[in-house]
Amino acid sequence: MVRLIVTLIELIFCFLLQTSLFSFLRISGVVPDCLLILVITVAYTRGQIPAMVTAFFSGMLLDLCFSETVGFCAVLYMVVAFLAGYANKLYYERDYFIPGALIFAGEFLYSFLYYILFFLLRGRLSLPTYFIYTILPRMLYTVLAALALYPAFHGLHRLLLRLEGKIDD
Amino acid sequence: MQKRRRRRNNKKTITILPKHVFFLLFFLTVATIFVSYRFPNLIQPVRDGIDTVIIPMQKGINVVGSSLSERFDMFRNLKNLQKENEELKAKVEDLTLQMQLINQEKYELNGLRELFALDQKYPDYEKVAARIIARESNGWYNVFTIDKGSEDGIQPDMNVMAGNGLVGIVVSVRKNSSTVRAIIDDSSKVSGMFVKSSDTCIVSGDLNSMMSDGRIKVTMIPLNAEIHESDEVVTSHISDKYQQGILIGYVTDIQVDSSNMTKTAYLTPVVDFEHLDEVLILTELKESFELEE
Repeated sequence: MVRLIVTLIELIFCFLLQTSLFSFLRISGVVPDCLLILVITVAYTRGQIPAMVTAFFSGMLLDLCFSETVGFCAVLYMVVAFLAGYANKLYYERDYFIPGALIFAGEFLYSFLYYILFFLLRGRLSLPTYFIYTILPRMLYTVLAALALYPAFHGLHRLLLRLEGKIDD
Repeated sequence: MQKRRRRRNNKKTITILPKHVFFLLFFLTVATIFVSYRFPNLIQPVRDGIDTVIIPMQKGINVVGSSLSERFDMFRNLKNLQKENEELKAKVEDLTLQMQLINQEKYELNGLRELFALDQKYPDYEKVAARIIARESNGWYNVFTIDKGSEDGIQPDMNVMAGNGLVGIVVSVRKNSSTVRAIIDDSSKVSGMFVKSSDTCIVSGDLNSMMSDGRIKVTMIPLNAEIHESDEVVTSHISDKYQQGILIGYVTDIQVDSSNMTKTAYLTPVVDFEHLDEVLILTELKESFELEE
């Protein structure tokens, strides 16, 4: 229950960060994908099912606020969460490389699928320019933001485990 | 014996595999995509509900964020300000002089118009000011949320301006906020018109050229249109959603299409979309007759 509320607060925090605060700190027109960082952190630390549920609600929140058809973002986040959840088997609390690589790859997958769904299908073929001007800056900026966000979420996760008595110091 | 029983028990217990959850949620989202596409009114209460929770927080963050960025800008600009002030003062004097001349001409024009019983060409539209509180964060689209909604009298398809240029159009309205699609958005299309020659054209947002050099596309310009570099483009009279005569931007790079039937050009918008934080919404909807079924 506590975990549910904490995850919900994390989700809303990420949403606000991504849509409001970071729009003042945009670099080359992109903002970091904080919700994706949250989704991948959950996938890496807790596995596929919680990650997919988090992904579902994150995507729904984005879609309900910004797009007319609701659900596309949710599907994309869920695909990323499902795949990233396999890395839960490699989970080791002091490893920062694997989550970083996962976030980098996850953001690429998300943006690439988004390009295919919303741009390629409308006949916009110039993938290289989209890659250079939108996908790549977004991947880099997201990883940069993850440097601050992942340790925070991960620390919170450890704290909750300790409160639940599942691990000792 | 015991072993066998345990095995049987294991078989009976239902284990929920991740793929089951995935397909369950997947079909749920497909259902919501269908419902929101086919019956948009059904999910309106959900949108309103989220609105009441999220909007106050976004407003709060926005106040903090904009004051921070203003302070940064102030430090950065302090040096330029004095110089700019002098330049502007000189400009003001220059402009007041021009104003007087123009006012005189306006009297004359009004007199002539009355003679011709013509309406004002560009009526003063009523406007409501609003603040941008959130932006769509994908980086693919240019959609943003403003802090005025149906309770402030905003309706879908109202035009949005900033300064004297066109920003976009209201696409969906909730109780206290609404979503605006900018003209530089990749899926936006505006019917435009060249002021000098009255040739119509289509101004369509294009992420590709917007990201590389801050311009959007103009297509379907008639081949015989007499247009030149940096001509003004305004919204046209034949558009069924945009009010007539709102400045969109200036054209560059006019080229003849490969089909040899139309011309294509690029357009630099007058609105600075990078630093946009306050917009004006025209509360008048364009009158258009709908086909009766």
